[in-house]
Amino acid sequence: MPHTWTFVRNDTTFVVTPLDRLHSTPDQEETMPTDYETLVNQNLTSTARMGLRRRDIDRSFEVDDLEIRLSEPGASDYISLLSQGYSFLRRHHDGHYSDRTMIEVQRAIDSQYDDQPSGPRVVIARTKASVDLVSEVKKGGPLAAGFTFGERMVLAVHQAHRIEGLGGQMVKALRSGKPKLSTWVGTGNVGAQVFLLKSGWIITGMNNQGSIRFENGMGAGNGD
Amino acid sequence: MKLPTFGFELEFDTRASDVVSHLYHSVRHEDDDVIGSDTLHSYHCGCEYCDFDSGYPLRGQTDSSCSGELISHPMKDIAQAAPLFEAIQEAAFEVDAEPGLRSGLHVHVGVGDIPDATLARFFYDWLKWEPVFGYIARGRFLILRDFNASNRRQLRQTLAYMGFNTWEDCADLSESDKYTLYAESRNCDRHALLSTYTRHGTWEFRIWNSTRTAWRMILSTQLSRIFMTTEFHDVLDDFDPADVQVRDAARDLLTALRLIDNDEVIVTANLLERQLDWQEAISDDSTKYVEPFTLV
Repeated sequence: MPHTWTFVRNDTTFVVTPLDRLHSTPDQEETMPTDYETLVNQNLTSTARMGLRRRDIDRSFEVDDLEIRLSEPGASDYISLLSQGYSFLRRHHDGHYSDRTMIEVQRAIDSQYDDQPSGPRVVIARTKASVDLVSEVKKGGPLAAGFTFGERMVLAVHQAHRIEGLGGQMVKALRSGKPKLSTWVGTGNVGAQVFLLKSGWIITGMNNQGSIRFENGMGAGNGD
Repeated sequence: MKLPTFGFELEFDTRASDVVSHLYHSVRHEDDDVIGSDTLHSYHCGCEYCDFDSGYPLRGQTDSSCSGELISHPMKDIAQAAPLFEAIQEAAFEVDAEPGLRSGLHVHVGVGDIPDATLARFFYDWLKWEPVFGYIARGRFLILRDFNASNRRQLRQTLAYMGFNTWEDCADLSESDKYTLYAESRNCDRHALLSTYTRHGTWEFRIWNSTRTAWRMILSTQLSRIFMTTEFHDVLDDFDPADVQVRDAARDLLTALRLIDNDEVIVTANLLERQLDWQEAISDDSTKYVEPFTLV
């Protein structure tokens, strides 16, 4: 049965597809700029390096009726998506985002009630949620949430739906129309490191708290 | 028929803090915040946001038995509470906060100027109908959580002093004996299915299992309030729960509600019927009961 994926941007249905799943390419490791090779080897954990070599794994995405919705300040669904995204991020970032990042999203939500609201681009992937009010059973709901503050990306995927290609679709949506994205990943966040490197992101720096800065959009192998 | 003032404490097994955060950042009630802070405050916190004069109808606090609770301000009308219940329901489903058997819904009902003799009558009826309310209070669950003590058990020794070995022996107590039971209940630990001494001028119906649906919050609240009216006890006198199985006695209670000509009671009766249908369905066919109940 074909999967139905819908992409909605700023209230308008933008693409109805199945979107192309983001695959790593066999030569991705080789196309990584050599300037960063040393940096990668020095700073990635051994588990992350192992993950990079697991090229042949193909996990098909198993969720049907997925909607990926993108919104920016001013759109009618913006406040709703921002709130959903914050709620989701709060529960699924696994401690990988700092309080500062969380507060940044909180402030964006609160500013929507100001005279001049501002905020990040937000992308939510969710399946249709259904709630039975008698049994109190809920099925479906958000599977991933992402934000871009300028070029900085913040992304979280539901624990039960990782390594299914969903993150790649989220990045595609977050990146649309933007020349470059960057993101910070802690050295302990092996899953994110593997994901970004397999998607062709490159390491451009580290800070003194052990986080690695990744960038997407500096050349070939940028995830498109 | 005038229903008394009320307030509620709604606990969640999981993610109460996320409910509070969602309510703070996402929900506006008549263009006002429904809660003053986006984090759970400490148990019995007395800060400006948790104070009864804060202006916010809800506050969130930690609770030792569960992940936290939402506490309302005193209210006079269910119309004040219904939008809050809807908002809590929306938040709880959005953030996947779950009720469970470590958490409950406590409804405080104002005693106001109800005479002690009337309260003694109400309490005696409570003892008679306690198993029936315990059945209804299960909510979406198969059992009533066992955290709270049964009022019957709390008063077992008192009954023995009065010369009764079992509850069935004291079917027709004198007014004086009823008063004794009520007075003694006020000396018992407050962690009972019904606490009659709360220091807030209320009776606290602690019996209700927790829920994340607005209609069950309304049902629990309204049944607690209706219980504190003379009209309800007048119709209840025509039924004896000792004569029948608890499942049938619950239907008798529904019949009693339908004998009262009042719009709020009629709505409550309809909700109770929905609840009893659910309980009978899962009792007759256990496959209809699903755990866990957040499925992504």
